[in-house]
Amino acid sequence: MRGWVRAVLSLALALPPVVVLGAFAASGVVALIEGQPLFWPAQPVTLTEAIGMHDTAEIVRQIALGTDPNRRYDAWDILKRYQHVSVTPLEAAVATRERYLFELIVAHGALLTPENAPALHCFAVQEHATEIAAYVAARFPPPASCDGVQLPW
Amino acid sequence: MAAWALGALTAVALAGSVYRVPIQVADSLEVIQRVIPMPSTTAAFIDGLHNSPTMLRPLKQVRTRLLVQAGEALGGRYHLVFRGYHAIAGVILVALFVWVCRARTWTDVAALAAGLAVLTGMHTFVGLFREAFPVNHYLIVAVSALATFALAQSRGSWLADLAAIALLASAALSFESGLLVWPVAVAAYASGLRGISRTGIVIMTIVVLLYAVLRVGYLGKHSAGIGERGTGFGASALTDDEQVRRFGNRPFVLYAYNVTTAAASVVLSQPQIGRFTVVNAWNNGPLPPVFIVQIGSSLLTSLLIAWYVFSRGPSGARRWREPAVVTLFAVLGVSALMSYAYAKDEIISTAGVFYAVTAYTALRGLLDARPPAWVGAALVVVALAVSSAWAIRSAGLHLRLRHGAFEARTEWAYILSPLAQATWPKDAHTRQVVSRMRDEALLHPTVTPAMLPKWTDLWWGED
Repeated sequence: MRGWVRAVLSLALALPPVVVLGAFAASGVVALIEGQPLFWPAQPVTLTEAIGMHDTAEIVRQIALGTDPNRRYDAWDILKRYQHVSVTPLEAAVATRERYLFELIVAHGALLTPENAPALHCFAVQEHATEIAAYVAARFPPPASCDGVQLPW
Repeated sequence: MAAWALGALTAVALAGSVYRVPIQVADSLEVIQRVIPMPSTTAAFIDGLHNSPTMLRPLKQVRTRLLVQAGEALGGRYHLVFRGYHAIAGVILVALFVWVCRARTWTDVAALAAGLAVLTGMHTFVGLFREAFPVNHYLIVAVSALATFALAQSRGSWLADLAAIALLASAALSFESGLLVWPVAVAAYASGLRGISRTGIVIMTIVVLLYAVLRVGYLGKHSAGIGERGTGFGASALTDDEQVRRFGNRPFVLYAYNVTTAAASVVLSQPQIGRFTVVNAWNNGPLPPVFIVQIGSSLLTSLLIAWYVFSRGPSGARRWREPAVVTLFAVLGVSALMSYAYAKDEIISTAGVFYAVTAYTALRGLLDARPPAWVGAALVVVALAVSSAWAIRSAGLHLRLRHGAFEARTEWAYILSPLAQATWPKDAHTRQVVSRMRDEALLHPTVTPAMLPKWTDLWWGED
């Protein structure tokens, strides 16, 4: 093979891998030093966003570090597409329709009380979260009607 | 020097992503909890001889116990020890790859860059790091096999023989696929490498026979059969029951399918885990670029290897007799046979490593070829496309490891859960170790796959 063809061929073979390997090596070094890589790092999320993404580990971490599971938190483009919503963790769990998330949050300190149970039940019915509706109904009698009960949306 | 610099880049990138994956719970925590109360490492070894009717992996338990003890000695830094172990093993694997490739010239280094992309971009490579049980035994096998090949390339001495025998014994007692070390040594010897002597090969053969006697004759272990694990077939997956129903009276049909498709998976990137996933993707709409990148890069690389295998070197010698080629075929053949009962990418991961070594050898051969100028120009375009495709696949390794990190971390949310106190370890010391591991896993946030851009699915596939 002629010298220049071989040189160009060598360059064509080497360049793309070297660029990718170099970029991810830099990412790896940053990860080892700073704790997060350059590519696809963990992004800060609110408790309700973590619930919306079914990120059980993040839910447990935030509550363990002191995040109150009974307050309202913002969630952007997760529970409602391209919308900000402000909901409690239990309401966020209802929006996912996942009973296991609802139970997890209750187990880690979210309060299901006579005050919030009717709204949660009505919200679960509205969102077709039948298992969660049953879970709430088994603990507190559901309201006769959901008319006038204030729901997140 | 440039070759080692490339290797260092690859190793750092790999280590950075591997270290981010938490210790996993599935297939892992059970082993950890089992070995902690054991009175000694010997007890862990003996328990590993007898604790399964099909598996003989005593060194898995020994290694787990030693790592737990190292974590305790470092003040409860279990993540550092377990994940550091995998990161270092990855560095060793890359170093061995650079070593066996023996790049001497700048064109060799160019081929090595592409070879490293093939190594890390193979769909089988991620299986060496994504999961751990709690130590990834496929990684142990790949490192041992490549180290054996490096020993075979050496000038040889009784020390090289001894090291090869130790690698075989250690790999085989860690995991059944560790027996792959033996065909590597035999293939290297048959192709002319004398780093491991004939005496060494004979002793390694005796070790394999002793292993068989221990496993079957003394311990009475049996092999996996049909329907013991889900596997792919055609474009879909078969459950255990479906396998028994469809192939219970003619299991060799399924076995033949599994063996054939396991080998094809290394060469063509399809099927994966026995499933022709490309068929479903094709039927579901426009084919995502991940399939074009994977199949295209594998097809062209395999064609290059085929050209190399059927050509002759500058001295006129047939290249199919070269050590890298013979060893690839030996490892590919034996790995495919080991996949007879069910398909799993990890079983063929060592074959994937040797595929990358052979791809490097073929690329080096290509750069030494003397085609007409117009062919050379066309080759530049094809080389750029193939090397770009492998670079993209190599980047996908890191994305897959992020997915793995998320999954492994998520599992910890239910360990020591207030909802299931009955499942907590009874032994206080074990509970303390598990609690510490849980804290380490949960306190290190990982990216949530739901927050990754949609195009990552298109280019690297859905997880």
